[in-house]
Amino acid sequence: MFLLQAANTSGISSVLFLGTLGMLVLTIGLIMFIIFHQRKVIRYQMKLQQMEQEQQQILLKASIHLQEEERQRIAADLHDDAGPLLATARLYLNENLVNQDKSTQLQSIFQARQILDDTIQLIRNISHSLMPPTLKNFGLESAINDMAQKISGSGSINASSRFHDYKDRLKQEKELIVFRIVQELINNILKHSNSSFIHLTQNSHGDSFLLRIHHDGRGIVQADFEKLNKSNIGLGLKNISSRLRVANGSIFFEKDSSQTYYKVTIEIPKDDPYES
Amino acid sequence: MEKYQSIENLFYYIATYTPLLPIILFFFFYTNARKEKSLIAILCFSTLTVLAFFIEEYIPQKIIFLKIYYGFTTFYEYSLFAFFIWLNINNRRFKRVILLASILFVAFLFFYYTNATFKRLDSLPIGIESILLLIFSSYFFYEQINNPNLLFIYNDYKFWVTTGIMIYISGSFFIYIFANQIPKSEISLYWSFTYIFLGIMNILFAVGILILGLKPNQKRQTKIKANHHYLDIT
Repeated sequence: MFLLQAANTSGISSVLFLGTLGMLVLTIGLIMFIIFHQRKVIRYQMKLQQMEQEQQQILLKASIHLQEEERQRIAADLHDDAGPLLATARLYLNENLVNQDKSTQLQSIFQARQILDDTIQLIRNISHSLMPPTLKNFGLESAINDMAQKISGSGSINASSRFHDYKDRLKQEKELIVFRIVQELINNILKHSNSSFIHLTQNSHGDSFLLRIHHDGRGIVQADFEKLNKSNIGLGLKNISSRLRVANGSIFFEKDSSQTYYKVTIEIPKDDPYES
Repeated sequence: MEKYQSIENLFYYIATYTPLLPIILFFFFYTNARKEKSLIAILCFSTLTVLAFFIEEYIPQKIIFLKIYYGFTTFYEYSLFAFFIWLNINNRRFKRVILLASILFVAFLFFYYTNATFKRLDSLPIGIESILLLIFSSYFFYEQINNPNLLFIYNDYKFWVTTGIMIYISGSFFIYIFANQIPKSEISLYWSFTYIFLGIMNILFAVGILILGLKPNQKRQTKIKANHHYLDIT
């Protein structure tokens, strides 16, 4: 009886000991897991933040680089084209002109006028490349149609555009952003794709403005775009990304299911809640 | 034997006096601590624990008195800890779950103490209480790790308080469950373990209040910032 009782008591003791130990191990394990899991999450978030900062840095650098390139181009245009033209006009209109005979004077004035007209045209072209007048005066639809017509007019490629639902125009700043993105994309297509046609289609879906570019040449898909965006090459694409970030928009590069042409879709919210 | 007796006494005194630590620290860091409503539950628990140890000495060893005493202890322990977790949980659905479980538990307590036969300890209610509190605490931690605003979980006093609750409950769970089966000669030995876990819990409560108290005062910081107007460009 005593032995039985002793065995029973030792059984309870071991259950108590193991049970308590098990419960404690479980509880402490759970608490340790929570602490380590949280640390892991924090580390992951920090890494993500760092990557985002790096990405922003790349985009910022690209944007500055492009701005500098644009300035250099304008400076070169002014210095190399407008400068010599004006200097030539000045030569025609020098002090000795009054001592020349009338026909020579008339010829010089005519030449100077011709040069000044060319200079005006040149400056107008520079100004148009900075801010297309069609975009400013008639909006995105006309500007893109105009651009398509000009490309088609060159004869090397067939370009067309069609706006399906653009009764409510985007704000001017957003129109400029979309126009610049389209310009950049078309420029890339013309330079690298070797395609025979470019077709632009616009539509709306809910509160989003949608624009799609189709072409049948060599193109890129979303994975290539993201890869190029993270690398140090592809400044134009980085410029697109930074412009889209400003407009809270997105872009998607894909190959059509028929595998015959590439599609680039731009989506931009019509009403930005952060804008007053 | 005497040596063991003195160690058991030591654990008993630790369990009796450590509840004073959170109370003292609460008043020491009153400015920061008073803002936390849920700390009231911990403060009440510590006060009631000190009182319970004091009253325990004078309770007549009759079943009816022991029933009332242990019944009340289980009730306030569950209610205050569940209230603490309820206050610190954001999910409304789980708050309702706590409320419903608490109502059912209190109804069960009432039924148990009016009908069930009482031997030495109310093992069944304590067992249910422990399981419920462990579930609530685990959910609280689950919510905390999903909180993106919380940078380090252990910088929050609630973490230490909940850890204390969990360690005490899981450490004493099996002892309370088997309390009626343990031979009378050994009960004091096992009771010492519950005193250790109670002591650990109270120390962790105190650590929580200390962390809360040592946090820089937000109001004071804004005041310092506001004094630097002369540095602004005018």
